[in-house]
Amino acid sequence: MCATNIVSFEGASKWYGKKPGVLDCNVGIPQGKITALIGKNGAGKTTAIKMIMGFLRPTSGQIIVAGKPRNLLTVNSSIGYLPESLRFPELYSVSQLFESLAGIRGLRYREVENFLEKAKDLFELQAHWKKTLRSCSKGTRQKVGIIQAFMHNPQLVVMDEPTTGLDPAVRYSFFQFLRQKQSQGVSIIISSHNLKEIENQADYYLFFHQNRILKAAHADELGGNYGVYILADQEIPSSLLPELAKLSATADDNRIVVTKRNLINDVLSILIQSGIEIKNILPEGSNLEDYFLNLVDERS
Amino acid sequence: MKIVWVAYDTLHKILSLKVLILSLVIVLAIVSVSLAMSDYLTSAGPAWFDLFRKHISQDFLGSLYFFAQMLLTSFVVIICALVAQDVYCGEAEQIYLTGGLSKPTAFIGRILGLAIYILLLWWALFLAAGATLIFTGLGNVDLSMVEIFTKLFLNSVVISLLAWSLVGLTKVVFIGITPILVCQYWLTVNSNITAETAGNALHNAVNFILPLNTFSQFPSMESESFNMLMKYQDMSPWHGAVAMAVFAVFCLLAAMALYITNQDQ
Repeated sequence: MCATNIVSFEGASKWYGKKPGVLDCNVGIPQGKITALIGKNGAGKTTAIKMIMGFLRPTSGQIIVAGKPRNLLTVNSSIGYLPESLRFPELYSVSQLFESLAGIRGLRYREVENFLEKAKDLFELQAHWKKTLRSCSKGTRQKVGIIQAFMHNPQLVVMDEPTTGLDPAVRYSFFQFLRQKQSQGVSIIISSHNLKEIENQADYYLFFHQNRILKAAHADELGGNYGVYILADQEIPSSLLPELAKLSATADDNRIVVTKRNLINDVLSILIQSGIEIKNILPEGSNLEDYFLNLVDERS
Repeated sequence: MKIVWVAYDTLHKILSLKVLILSLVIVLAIVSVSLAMSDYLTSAGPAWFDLFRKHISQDFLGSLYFFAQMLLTSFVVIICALVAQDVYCGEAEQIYLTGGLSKPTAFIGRILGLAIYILLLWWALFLAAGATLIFTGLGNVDLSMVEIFTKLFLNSVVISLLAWSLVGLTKVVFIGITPILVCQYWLTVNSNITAETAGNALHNAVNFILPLNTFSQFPSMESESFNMLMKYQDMSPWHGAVAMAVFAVFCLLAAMALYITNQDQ
């Protein structure tokens, strides 16, 4: 195993009775990178995540996290976690929940206040900060879940289907946020069955199929880079077209194609400033999907 | 300090809006029904009331303790089983086990929060009953009332630990609710006790085997002044207290071991 792996699966298998969860995993997850676990529902992604977190004990083999083997007693000191399904006590306000979680994690609120202020702005939670979680939407609760995973400044963050319930614009901010955290040295593991969404967002991909890891691949092994298209709530006014063209973006009706992904923020700013609402942001074409389907075909 | 925050979080976990409202409704219902069961509402005139004040007061308190055990203890068991399901089977619990919180600390905090909730519930009933006694002129809050409420509170905690460990063991909330049957059986046997049946084999068996507060074989049951209230007084012989403490510790350790070794399903 590579010395710079934050997580190493060493012949790890998990059986639920006679039903396989994950079979014979031998793979390392690199430190300081965003790693995506890709696969259909039931492919073994969540089982792998639970084993990394120490919530499941492998039936055979072992999992090494940050150089230490996992067991049910391991304390997740420097790990953040977002499970697939979230349920917080409903009478907490958002700010009270963070205060309580800070206390539970042995932190003073003022130690995390700065981070929370930034996260509040990034995830557009200002209006919900004093509301009870009971009155918050699913998307808002998901944002709260994402923030709590990072609030104690962990070195590894593991998230299971983190974008569930997030609207497209926030989803984009979320991936920007992940990239920012990754640049600070945080290792991030996310799972998704939405290949279009996860495309180009990770540095390293683990492809799960039928409870096995088919392949582990770096992003640059997946082929070329496609652009993205943005769906707006209305037809794009012709007055904006020259400005968009400067950013290598073309518009047709309510659909804007951005060929250079690094310019997408500028394009979004122009659209939002013009009062146009963003309905969706999607990759144009998908290397990841093709790659994954080819892998599955080969296996078949 | 982490334990205190976990206990605080547990109170939030237990007290959803529905549970909060239901808790208050049950407390008020127990007091109201107990008052209605006494002759307070039907006693005609001040002279009549003064004459039978003591009996009315005893009827009120007797009914109060009976309904409190029947309803409030059962309610506590149901709530505990539901919370235990959340703690043992819910993914949300796993969020708390990050950031440096160890499983034993988390568990002790959860149990502390649970005990505080049960204490608050019995305290609310105590206050409501005391206020009723004072405002209706039936009497005052005395030490025996405090003692009985303490015993009933401890009963609830012990039976909740049993519910908690059953859910931890089976991961089935319904099985966690079954200790209600233990409570109701104990209540039935001991509520039907008379001077003749006191000390018979069944009574002794129940009170020795079930680690709840037990009746003592108090001699006053032989006397004419025996009434329902007396069943709740002096009902902690040493064997009952010891059995209860041993059982509570066993349930606590079992629930803790199950929590620490708990694996996601």
